[in-house]
Amino acid sequence: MNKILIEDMSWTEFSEVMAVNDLVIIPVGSIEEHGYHNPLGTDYFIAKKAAYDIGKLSNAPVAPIMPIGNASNLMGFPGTISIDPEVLRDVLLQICEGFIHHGAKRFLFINGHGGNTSTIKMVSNILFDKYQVFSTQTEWWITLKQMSEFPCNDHGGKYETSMMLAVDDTIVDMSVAQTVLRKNLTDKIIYDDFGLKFNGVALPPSFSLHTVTAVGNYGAKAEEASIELGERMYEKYIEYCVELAEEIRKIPLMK
Amino acid sequence: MKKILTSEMSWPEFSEYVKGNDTIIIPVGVLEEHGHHNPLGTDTLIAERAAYEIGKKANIAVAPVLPYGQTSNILDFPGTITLDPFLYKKLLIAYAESYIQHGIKRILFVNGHGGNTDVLQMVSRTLFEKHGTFSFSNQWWEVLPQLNKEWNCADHGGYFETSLMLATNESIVDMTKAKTAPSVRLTEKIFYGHGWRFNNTRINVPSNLYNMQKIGNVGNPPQEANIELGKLMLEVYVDFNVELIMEMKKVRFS
Repeated sequence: MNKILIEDMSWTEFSEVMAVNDLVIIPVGSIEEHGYHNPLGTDYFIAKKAAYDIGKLSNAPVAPIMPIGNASNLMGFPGTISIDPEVLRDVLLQICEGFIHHGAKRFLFINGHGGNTSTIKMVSNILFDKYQVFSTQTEWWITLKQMSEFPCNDHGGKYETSMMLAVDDTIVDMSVAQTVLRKNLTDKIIYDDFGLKFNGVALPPSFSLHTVTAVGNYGAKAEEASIELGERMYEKYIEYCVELAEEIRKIPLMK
Repeated sequence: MKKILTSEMSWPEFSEYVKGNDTIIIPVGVLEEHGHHNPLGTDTLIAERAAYEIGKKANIAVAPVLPYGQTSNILDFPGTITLDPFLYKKLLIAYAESYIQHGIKRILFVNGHGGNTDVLQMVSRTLFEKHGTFSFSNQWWEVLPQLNKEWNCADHGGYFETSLMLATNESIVDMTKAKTAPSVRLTEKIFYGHGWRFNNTRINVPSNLYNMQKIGNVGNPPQEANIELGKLMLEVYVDFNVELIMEMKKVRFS
């Protein structure tokens, strides 16, 4: 059986893979609070498993996961790790530059954490500008919100907890799951499940989470999570990413 | 059973941990060639495993392993990835500082890769100077020869390292591909014997190993590597660090 994780391959095995493939999948996670019931590694575990399954089904090698990212707004909760976005950017860039040296021309980042999204976009832009390689990313909640019936309007809530249950239910403790609303900033700048709103219009998130909730998860209720829901969501996401990986391979690249 | 990995703890569980314990273990590795028979993740996987065993025995939390590090001289071997050393330093400091912000005061870096040692020393110094954090890293190939003179650990992907990798996960080592690499010589007197040497001393020589031999492992040949030796090495290394961590906890801060 073919190895999927690059860390499991010898250099000669990796060389053989790259002789017939130029796509590398890179998972990126985060270690951060996800409510009372989810592990700190929620984003990390989901990204890791998803990348593996996507790699397996699309026959693309999967790089070791970058386990930590930018989660400064969650540093008020014990156990959260955060690195500055420019550090994340530079680390991901150098990882990709290494793979480019070994023949990679396409990258698919499987990103488990929203705080990394904009940084990874910047990395992809730089990679294209500098090296004419194609690079893009997916985030399961952004993908599913657009192409499925799952709104994924939570952090550590119904949808994320379901995904985490599908990935590894042994490290989720549903008995302590609870959902509280975030504290409104003023009478008119309020939080709903989707985020900050003023007069019905969405405002970008800008505040440290511990200042508006003591629990950590928010949005769609965590108590309603289920492994069945998670498995349905997970499967849809993987299917999408496998199709995307195959389509990425068809993009004509200039030299 | 109590959780050891911080990645598996919820934030309240981590909070509980820190209330009773100001120490954490951070394993670090690299992605790089280790000969035809060992996986690219050898250093990372060994460090991760050792860290977990130490944490379990010493009851100390273990952070997720950083699988990217700093390496040189072998960058042309497919799959080998390096970070700029000062970026790596920033990354390690940011990682450690997050834990320091949450109350950690002592850190043991379990390091699986030689190329990381210089940066790790800088990091320990910075963490102490900036935060008074007591931290240091150790490396199995430096620790073990001092505990057992028969284990010279003088190889990269050779006898000792392959044995440890077998003990960590033998399913991804292919001993049928283990080979003795040809000796490499720059001049008559400057040669590579697990480190460049000149007149019985080590000297630093930047080079491109891939231009000199296409196998990758150096030092003690790997063919006799075995899992029993690896398990013993791992046990000795883990026990040393368990004792070390217990002693680290007694260091007084002024």
